[in-house]
Amino acid sequence: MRALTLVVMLALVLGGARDVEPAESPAVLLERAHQAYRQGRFPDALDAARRAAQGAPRSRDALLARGTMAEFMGEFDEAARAYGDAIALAPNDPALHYALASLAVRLGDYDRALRELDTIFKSQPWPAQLLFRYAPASVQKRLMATNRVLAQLVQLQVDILMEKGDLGAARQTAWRYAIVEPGRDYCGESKGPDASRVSRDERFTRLRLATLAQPTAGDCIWWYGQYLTDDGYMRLGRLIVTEALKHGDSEERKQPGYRYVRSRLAGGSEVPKRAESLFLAARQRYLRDGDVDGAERLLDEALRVAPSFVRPYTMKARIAQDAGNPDAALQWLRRGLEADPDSWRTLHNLGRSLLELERWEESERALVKAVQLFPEDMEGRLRLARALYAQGKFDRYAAETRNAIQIARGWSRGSAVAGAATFLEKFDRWGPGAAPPPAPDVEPLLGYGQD
Amino acid sequence: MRRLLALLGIAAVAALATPAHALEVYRWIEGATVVYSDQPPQSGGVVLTSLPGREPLPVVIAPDAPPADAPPVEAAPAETAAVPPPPEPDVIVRAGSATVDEILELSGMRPQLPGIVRALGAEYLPPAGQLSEHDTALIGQIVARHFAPARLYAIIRDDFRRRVDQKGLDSMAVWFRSPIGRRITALEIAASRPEVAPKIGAFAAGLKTSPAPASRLELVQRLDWVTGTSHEATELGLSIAGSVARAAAASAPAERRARVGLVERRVEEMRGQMAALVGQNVLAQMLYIYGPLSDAELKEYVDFLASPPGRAYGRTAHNALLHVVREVADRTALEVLRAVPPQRWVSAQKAAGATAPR
Repeated sequence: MRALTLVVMLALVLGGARDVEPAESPAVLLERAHQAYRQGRFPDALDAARRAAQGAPRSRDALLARGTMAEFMGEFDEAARAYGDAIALAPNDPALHYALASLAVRLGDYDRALRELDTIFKSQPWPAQLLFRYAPASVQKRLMATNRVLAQLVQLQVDILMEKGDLGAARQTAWRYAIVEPGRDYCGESKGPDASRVSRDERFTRLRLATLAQPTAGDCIWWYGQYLTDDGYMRLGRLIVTEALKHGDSEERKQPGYRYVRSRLAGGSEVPKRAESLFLAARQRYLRDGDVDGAERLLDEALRVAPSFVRPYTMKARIAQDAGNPDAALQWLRRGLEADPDSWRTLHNLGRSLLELERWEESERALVKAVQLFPEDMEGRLRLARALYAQGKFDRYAAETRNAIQIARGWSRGSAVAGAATFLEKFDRWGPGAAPPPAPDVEPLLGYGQD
Repeated sequence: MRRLLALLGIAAVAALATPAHALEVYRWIEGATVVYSDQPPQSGGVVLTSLPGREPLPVVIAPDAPPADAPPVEAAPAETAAVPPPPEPDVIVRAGSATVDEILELSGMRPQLPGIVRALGAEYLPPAGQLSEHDTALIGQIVARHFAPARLYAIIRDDFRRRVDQKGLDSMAVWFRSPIGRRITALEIAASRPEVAPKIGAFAAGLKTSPAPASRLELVQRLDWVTGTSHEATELGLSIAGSVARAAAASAPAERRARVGLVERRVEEMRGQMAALVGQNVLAQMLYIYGPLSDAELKEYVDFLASPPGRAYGRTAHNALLHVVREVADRTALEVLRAVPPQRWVSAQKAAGATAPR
């Protein structure tokens, strides 16, 4: 009886304590959301923004913050609702329409995005509208410098045109609105002496401008496509790489490009933009935030939207591997290969996982195909060499290792394979040894990393 | 034979402390079998040996080995000549088919196992004074229970039995029963004594100013190649490090717990650095241990280890030892950190400014 009384008392006290706890104001929560975002605590930022919007459902700022944070975290439906609610409160606010347009691009709803841009345009003063429509490029440059809304609008318009596959219109827009300058060698700048010193983002930007400004700069367009592919932009990546292939001088020289599309960009099949964006957000949530549940939920959604999109499978495999569940990882990789049998990354990772489990023959099969699809896969070749060595296939071990070392030295990665080279020298001198050959991680080439 | 080298490799990496507890192993004969146990025989049979005495098991028949202090054919470097030869084993002779026990005895695996086990187990022990006496004793008990040589020996022996047939044992025995084979095992056992460790350290330091002859270096490099000693020592070290990392991760609160696969990756990242360190030390130790041998004798040894029976022995011994250590390591680490949670190590470390649990 006394115990029951105590339980009731505790419930009352604790319940009361919760009731008297001072409620945080939406303004405080909003500031907290922004602060968390600035500090890179993105899940906290979203949580605070949600609470701010719930506390102040008619606050434009709170709704915009909720939409922005939700979009950033891959909660696209939540973001769309928040932007929609905000626009209902402030229909002429260009920032809200821009946010919605940007989200629509992320989800591949380009018509919706263009409608939002149209609304933004009409919200501008009429002199600006006139100048935007009719002034020459020299005037547009000044207009863009003074009118941030229009400058953003043009950038998004270029993105939309590129993603829709109309690179010609995107280039015209870039010229017309002075995003690119005539006569400037953007491609040369991206390869210039300071190229190795600039950040990856800066290099990415230079290559984008080169693609827009210099239609014949095949190598820069090719690199831009590879950057996009590495970052997970499947749709734009495939469009740009395909564009680069137009500049190859012979069918033979185009073969690596075709192989690249096949092995890295899902061949000819189109990946829905929503699935691509879900994957990108999921990867960030897992790698950046350590949010396993959130990442898995987004990946599951991506697979529902696009069951043949291979990257969510490899990401699920990685999560399973990190959780110490190699069997589940293998299952995800195999499912990925059912979806896309020519995915180099999936084969490479499968070979690696099987190698760690000492399943030599299966590992060999996966890695043989991986290096066929990407002959400069140094790491894959060294792992294949290890699988061969373990099976006593010493001649092929030596051949694969020699190949990998030669490729690595050609790509300034000799130090990464130094151990493998030393091992091979000993093998040549003394025959097979007791220890397995090293299979080090080797920094991947452009276009084959990040996943 | 090469178990000694694995042990030394580990020791070089971790600068091991010797645990306070003694490890007793009893051996006796039941019928045709040599039995090892940490308990004396209940049958009241005759106990042959009690470890840690390191006397080799009196099982083997072979022509008498030459005295271990016999002069080598070629003069050895002065630094290595001081290796004290072990006393000649008091063997009981038995001809005919070889047994697993005999091979493990003659190869030095059995006599050196308590030392290996002690060194590996010491990896879990705190530096002196870091933890309370109670905690230190608790950890010592856990380690002693898991790293019990008799139990580990039994597992290794069973593993050997499963993997090697009679023909394989007989072909291994040809070398291990030979005078040169026995002499080399004696050298390895002698070098595994704790009191020899400082001499090996001094010898290794001396190599910087007076390096080994190229021909000898080539031989020990090949020895390491055919035995995979450096690799094995690295694997053992990583097994211990990994067990502690996994147990520490498992003992963290759920919301701050590192994922198992990520822990494995972190441990794997240690491999390169550890392998380089181990590799250097193993070569120095080999130069020391085999210093009393002539190049011709050492080459004979290397040739045996590169031969099918030698490789079979090495492979089986490697797998057996690694398998047993991996199995025991995880259980030990979990139990140690359950008994003395990481917070206690950390707070004790902060208080004393000592090093973290190894």
